[in-house]
Formats: sequence, structure tokens, C-alpha cells
Amino acid sequence: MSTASTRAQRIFGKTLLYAALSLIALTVIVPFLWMLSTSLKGSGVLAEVPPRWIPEIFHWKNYSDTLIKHHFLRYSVNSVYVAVMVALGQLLTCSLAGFAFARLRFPGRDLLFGLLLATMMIPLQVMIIPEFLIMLGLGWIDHPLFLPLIVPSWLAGAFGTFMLRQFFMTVPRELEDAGRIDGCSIFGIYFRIFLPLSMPALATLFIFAFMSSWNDLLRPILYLSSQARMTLTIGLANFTRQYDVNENLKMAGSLITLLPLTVVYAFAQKYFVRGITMSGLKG
Amino acid sequence: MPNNLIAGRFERRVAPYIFLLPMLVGLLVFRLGPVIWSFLLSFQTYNPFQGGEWIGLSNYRELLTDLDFRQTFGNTLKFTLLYLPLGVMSSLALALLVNNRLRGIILFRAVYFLPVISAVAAIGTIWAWLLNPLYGLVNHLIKVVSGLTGPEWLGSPKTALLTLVLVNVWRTMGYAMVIFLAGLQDVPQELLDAARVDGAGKIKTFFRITFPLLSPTTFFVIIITIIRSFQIFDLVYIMTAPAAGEGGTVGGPANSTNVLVISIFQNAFKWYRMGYGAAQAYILFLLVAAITLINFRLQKRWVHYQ
Repeated sequence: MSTASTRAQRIFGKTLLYAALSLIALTVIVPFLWMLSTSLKGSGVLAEVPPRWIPEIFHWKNYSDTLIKHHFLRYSVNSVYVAVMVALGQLLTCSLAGFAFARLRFPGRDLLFGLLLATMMIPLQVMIIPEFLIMLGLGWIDHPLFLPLIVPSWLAGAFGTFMLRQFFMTVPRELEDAGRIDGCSIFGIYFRIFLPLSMPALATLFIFAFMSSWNDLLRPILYLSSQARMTLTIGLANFTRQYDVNENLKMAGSLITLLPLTVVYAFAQKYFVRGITMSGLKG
Repeated sequence: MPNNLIAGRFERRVAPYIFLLPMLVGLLVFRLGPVIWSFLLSFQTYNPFQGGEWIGLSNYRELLTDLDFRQTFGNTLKFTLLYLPLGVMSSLALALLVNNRLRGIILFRAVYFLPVISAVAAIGTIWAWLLNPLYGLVNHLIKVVSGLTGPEWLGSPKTALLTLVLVNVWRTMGYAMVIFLAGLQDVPQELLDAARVDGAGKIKTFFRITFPLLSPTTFFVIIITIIRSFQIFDLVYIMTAPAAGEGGTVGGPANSTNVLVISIFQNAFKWYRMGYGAAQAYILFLLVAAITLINFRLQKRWVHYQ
């Protein structure tokens, strides 16, 4: 076989590969582009045939209507607040527990850790009915500080604990000993040595927890009821159910819901991928 | 010196539990407690506003005879049986495609993964619009390409469940792609080179070397795919919701997309039949546990670890 023909073959193969890759990328991107396109159209042209990709007139007012008149600005503020609280709280409680499991010796440690891992395999649906009853009993339904969306994830972050434990186990013991010689207490070692060394793992957990909270739908359905206290996902779900809302506004609402995470994803993609794949590997 | 001793004892005896306190409280209050509580609920009629009474196995007996539940169960199995092969094969195909050293490949991977991070609430809303039988982009394209009228998608009991499967494949294929990709990159290059030297073609190399070596990954993907299909909720809730004031419930049309978790949700939180909902949740629990166990047994037989 001549080198020229193998070279031609390779170029042909590469072209074919790129064609396949692009075709699939298109099926992923087109729904998002159609969302963007629809969100800028006037209500009168939504059923236009053939469909127009670039609207004749850009109705930016769709966005101000969705944000202000239909409360999506309020929902966004709520979503940011809840997701930040969840993520910060998880960093604290999961790193504390992860440190204990990785570096402290105490009776029942392995049993407790096994128990924690086992709870990750239990379907949420088994626990959600009692959780709802707890929230109801505490009077936390529609709580102004969104406690029912925040507190369970603060206290029961099994995945975060697992992930940080694995990371803490890789920290060299010499660093811990050095800290002790310098007179650090165990809390000092946790705070001054382990936390600063674990920034990549902490960033992964922060992003994962933020995303899980931002995208969560079930708990907002159960625990939020007044309009001013909706998060984006439940706000969007209710919004799409109203019979007098047109598709252009629904798409504007969808874009508002998706945009913040997508922007973060563009810059911190590896943290998303790492967190999501690791959370699957748990069970 | 005594100070040091006290500090040492404190660190050994007390400090671990201070570190663990929030986690221990959470484990008891939001995990173990509820697991037991909902087990107890499953033997009661329980309504949070009227209380309940013990009825023994009646909830479970009702599950066996309830025609709605039988349909729910069937829908869940159908969803799983459709989603499993489509989801696993598309993810594997994607992983093989992006497992090439090409310029820009990282960008393609990032794009394929994008739906995984996107809120299901928005994804469902977008696809409901794309699949609108009359004005949706998809049926328009079908018309242009083939001249045929596209299906009713979510509008017909015949196609609604399949529609949800397809959207879910689109939404999740990037996830298992990443896992398959990690598995593919663990296949030793020497083996692939050796096969090529021996004259094996690409297809033969895949089936004789890559795929067997990938089997632990495939096994893992199959398990989580099954478990996740049993638990599908958000997408169904968003895409099958009737418009306000139109009557009907999620899981339509004609109950054709009423899956297990939708049913748990409706019983527990819409009709406040929490005992019955808890019994259904325990059926789900048993299913998930059984599949995990059965697969771990089977795994020994057909999985090749290196």
C-alpha cells in the first residue's frame, strides 16, 4: 500500500469523524438555540411556517416581562441564596466529618462510615415522606429562610463526606506531624493544613452542591408554596402550566434558569464533570 | 505536661465526635430515622392532617390488586427496558467517538456533557415546545424531510412514554459517556497495538479486546442506568403536567406515563395517602436493592477484571 493512499485514507477517516461529532453536537445545541430564538420572538409569530431562526424583530421585552412581571428575578435571587447556603454548609459539615473519617481514630469509625455509604444507596423516595412530616411538624413549610431546602443537605451530605475523606487520605502524614510540632491543635490541623491543601476537592464539592440545589425540583415542590418564595425550577414548572403564557416567555424563563450554571460550566467544566461522575461512582 | 495530657485525651475521646456531630445528627434525623419511619408508615393509613391507624399488610395487599398500580409498574418497566439499551449504547458510541486525539475534541466532550448539568425543569420545557405536535420544530423538520405528519409525541398515550425515554437519552448520554471514556482510556495501548500487528481490524479489535476489558465499566453503567430509570420523576413531572384548570394529573395522557415515583408522589403529597405512598416507596427500595445484589452476583461471571 502506498503512503499516499494511507494518508488519503486517514484524512477521509478524520473527516468522517468530524462529521459525526458535529452532527451529534448539533442535536445537543439546536434545542438550546431554538430556546434562544423563540424567547426573542413576538407572540404572533410563534406558529410561523417555515419557522424563522433569527426573529425579524427582537422582543427583548420578553425578558423584562419574565423577570419582573412574572417574578423570575425574585426566583433567581431565591435560587442563588438557597444554592449558596447549601454549598457553603456542605463544605463545612462534609469537611469536618470527612476529616474525622480520614484522620481520627475512634471506636466504631469504620462501621459508621459503612453506614453512611449505605445510606447513599437508599432511594430518596423512601425518606422523603418522613422528611416532609418533619418539616410540617417544625412549621417549616414555606419557611422565609428556605430552611427545609437547606438544612437536610447541610446535615446529611454523604457524598461530600465520602469525597473529602478520600481526598484527605492522600494528604501526607508528615504535614500533620509538622503541624503538631508547631503546636497546632487537631482543629488547627484541620483548618490550617487540610482545608488549604484541599482547594480543588472543596471547589468540586461546592460546584456539585450548588448545581444539585439549583436544579432540584422535588423539594421546592414539597416545601414552597407562596409565589415570592419560589426558586427558579418550581417557578418555571408552575409558569409553564399557566394556560395564558406563550412559548416565547416559557423559553425566556428556561434560559434564565439555565444561564447562570451554563456560564460557570464554561469556565469550570472539569469541576462539574468530576463531581457528577464521582457522585455516580458512590453506588 | 498535664495540660498536654488533657489535650491529648480530649483529642482522642471528644474531638472526633465534635467533627462528626452535624453528620451524626443528619444521619439519624434525615436518613436512618426516616427509613424506619416510612417502613412503619407503610403498615398504616396515614394522613398528616387526620392521623392514621394500623392496618397490617393492607397497603401491600392493595398494591397487588390495584389496577392503577399495575399500570404504573408496567410503565416503569417499559421505560427501563427502552431506556437501558438506548442510553447505554448511545453513551458508549459517544465515548468511542470522543476517545480520539483530535483537535477540538475537548470542546465536543464539553458540549455533549452540557445537558447533564442543565436543570430538568428547563430541559423538559424546551423539549415540550420542540415536540409540540402542531407548531414544534421537530414535526416541522419531519414534514420537510419526509412529507409525513409527525407523531403526537406527548399528546398520545401511544407515544408519550417513548418520547420521555428519548428526551432522557438526550439529556443523560453525556454522563455515561464520561464514565465509558474513563474506562476506554484504561485499556492498555500495547494490547490494541498487538491486535493491529496481528492483523485484526478495528471492529474485531473492539469486540475481542476493548469491549471485554470495558466490561466492569459497562456493568457499572448498566446498574446505575436501571436504578435511575426506576427513579425517574422530574422529567415526567415537567413534561406531562396538564395546564392549570384543565383537570387531569401528571403521568398522562391516560396514565400512560404514570411511573413509580410519580405514583408515590401523587399518593403521598397530593391525596395524602402517605401509608400507601410509603408502601410503594418500599417496593422501589426492594427493587433497587435486589438489582444491586443480583448484578453483583452476576458480575463475577461475565466481568473481566484486568
